[in-house]
Amino acid sequence: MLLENLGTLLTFLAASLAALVPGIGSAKAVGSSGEAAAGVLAEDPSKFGKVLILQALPGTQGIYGLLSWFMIMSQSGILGGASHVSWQAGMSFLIAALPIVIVGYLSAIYQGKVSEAGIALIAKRPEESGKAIVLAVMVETYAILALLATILAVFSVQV
Amino acid sequence: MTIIGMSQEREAVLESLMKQGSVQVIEADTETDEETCKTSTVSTGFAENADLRNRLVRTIEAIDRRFPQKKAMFSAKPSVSESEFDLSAEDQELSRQLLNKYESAVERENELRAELNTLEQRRAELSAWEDIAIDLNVRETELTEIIYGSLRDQRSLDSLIAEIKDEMSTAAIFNLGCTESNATLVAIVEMKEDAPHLRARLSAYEFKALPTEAVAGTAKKSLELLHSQAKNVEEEISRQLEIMKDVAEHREQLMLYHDVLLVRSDKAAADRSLLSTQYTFYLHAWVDADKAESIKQFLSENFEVACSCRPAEAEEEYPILLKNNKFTEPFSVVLEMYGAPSPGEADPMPVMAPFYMIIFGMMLSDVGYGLLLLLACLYLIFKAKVQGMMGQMARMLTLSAVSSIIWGFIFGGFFGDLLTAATDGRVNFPVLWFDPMGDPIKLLIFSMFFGTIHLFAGMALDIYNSKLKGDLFGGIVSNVPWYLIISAVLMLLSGSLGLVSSAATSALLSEIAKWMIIVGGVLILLFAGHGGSWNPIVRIGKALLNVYNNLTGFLSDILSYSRILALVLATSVIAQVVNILATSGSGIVRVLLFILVGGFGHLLNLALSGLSAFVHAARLQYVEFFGKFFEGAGEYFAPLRRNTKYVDIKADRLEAKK
Repeated sequence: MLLENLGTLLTFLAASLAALVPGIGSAKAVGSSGEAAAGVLAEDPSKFGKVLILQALPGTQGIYGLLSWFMIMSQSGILGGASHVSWQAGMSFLIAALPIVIVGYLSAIYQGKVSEAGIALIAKRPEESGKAIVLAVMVETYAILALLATILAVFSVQV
Repeated sequence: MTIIGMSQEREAVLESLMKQGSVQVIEADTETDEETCKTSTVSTGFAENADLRNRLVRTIEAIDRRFPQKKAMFSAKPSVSESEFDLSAEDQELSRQLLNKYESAVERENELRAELNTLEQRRAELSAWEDIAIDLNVRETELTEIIYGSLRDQRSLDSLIAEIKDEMSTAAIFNLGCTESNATLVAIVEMKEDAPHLRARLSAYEFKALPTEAVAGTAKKSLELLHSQAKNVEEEISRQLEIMKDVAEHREQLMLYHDVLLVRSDKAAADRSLLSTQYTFYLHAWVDADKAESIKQFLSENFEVACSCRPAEAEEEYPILLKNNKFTEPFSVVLEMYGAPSPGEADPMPVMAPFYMIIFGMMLSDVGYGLLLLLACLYLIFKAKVQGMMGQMARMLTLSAVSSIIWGFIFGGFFGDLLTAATDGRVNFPVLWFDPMGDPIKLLIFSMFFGTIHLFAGMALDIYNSKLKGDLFGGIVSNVPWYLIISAVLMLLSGSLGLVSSAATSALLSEIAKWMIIVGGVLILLFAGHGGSWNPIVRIGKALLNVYNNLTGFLSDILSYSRILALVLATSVIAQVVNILATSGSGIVRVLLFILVGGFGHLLNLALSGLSAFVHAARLQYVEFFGKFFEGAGEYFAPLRRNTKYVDIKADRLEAKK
């Protein structure tokens, strides 16, 4: 019985991991940036808009994770109502999800660190907020590459 | 604007400029010749002013805590007329006396409460002894000492009795009774010489001695005495409270005084930026170009001044004042949260405002939520008449709510799928285009497509900015290749994305796309990195760098717009769940659930989704859109005006002062 449903279970596992792990990373990163931002605002509330952006930047990985969830669920047909996925396809989905799961989480954490540093930068020099944003966005490149890898792999799985 | 006037009119000129509120005084340049021009020195009254204001703020807060007034949540500040704001010296003295009265009442109350505490403590100690009819004042005789106190329980008493019988034969212990908590009250009589030894032994039994002061005869009498003393203190306290209440009635006067002091302090700060010679003063200021002439005329009519205006030079760092039409202006809140355009840059508002409105509407696409938001904002604007930043936000949210309603019709959302859930599928809310829950991939592609348009608009603004700076060619060659390449990629993908159905069109588009990429590539190769050297290796290097930066940049930006999909689905899913809960059960339970769970759930969803839509729509502007063209190193115009904390001054018409 388990073997029959293995494919479907593995697909769900892949999709869930894709949605949950980068989400954890983003939540941690946005959270710690938010703490730094609150500290800056305690001194100077007028910097709110600038620190808000920097705080929101590491949140992208969570969205990419959700996107991957969609891709997997729709490519496997489950979202459309299909109930059976072959175990080979399920396994493929799981492995295809790995890039966004792992890289999404780690890049979010590290992007969070850059965001915090950027917020400290804005505290001293509010006019350089653009540079701080660019620094944080550079880390996102790798999340995008991982997302690309996942999506292209998911699309090429034979269900 | 430069103003030169007579010294004796200096105060009056500054005062009237402040009332107008359209002039930003430029800080005095400290390098000017010290002999002919000197700035006014910091007056000694500054510290006093700040101190008074601090005390006033603390007192007003304390009054608001103790005697809260019933105020609506969004009420405007109380307003005063010009003549009321012009406090006479006696009124100021009265306000200071009020302040002192309140502060000393608070101090006195604290003292009295401390006294009350001590009295209460003594009462607590003595209350156990109330029924014992011994005169507790008698603590010694000629040869003996009497120790009163309590032991923890009967067992301690027994062991104490045993020890005394064994070791301290001269002592006599009397059990006076038990209290409610089983502690025993005892009196021990001992010879004076042996008393210290006894006391030392007593500590081993957790003996609590009765304190020796404030006992007037029997316990009962002492308790009565303490009781009347406490009563007196309480009466005193309530008298102090009466005084405080009396001051609280006049809290508006304290608020007014605070604002008078605040305006005075601001004026003194501005005064320090004025240069002066023996008979004249000299003032540099930034002025709104539209109002320059009328201000100049007003000053010339009412004061003996020489006033000249000139437009700002291109290199001068002038402050920024945004001017937009009625529809665009509310959205400048979003820009102001981020920063100000650099002097010399274009105002991004006319382009940003519609995009923000559309993106917000897409993210909160729901007719029901949009209607609620619209009604709330209209109430705030017309009934509660909010001003300032809250008013601007309310107007911005009104427009965004209209956009939400439109997108709600497009995606078919009315409190999520309320109609479907409530009628078990018989009635469905009309969908103008498609339901995102049914075909999320389509929405994803649409969001990214929309994002591409947004980015293209940003690039167009970059070309416009380059033109303003005089480098139109540079702007064109850095942006046009990417217009070509991105459009080409879209065309190539159009087949697989399902936008184009026939194969022939697909093939044609692919051909055109190929050529566009080639042209784009050549342009990048030739002009990347602002031209410069013709060394082929450097050229290729710069081109590759450009391609790497921009390709990953555009990819990341376009993917970022997928958050529109995420937010739309989040709103819909939460609404669906709320509807499932709200339409379960039957009969009276169903009705109750519908009202309570449905009402609360949808309001919560409105708040959450509205907040997300606000933040993420702003984020898309700040990071993706502004990233294409915006410098944002400017500062906003901060005119000298009467910045009041508690009251609003009703602006009278400008009066001639002669």
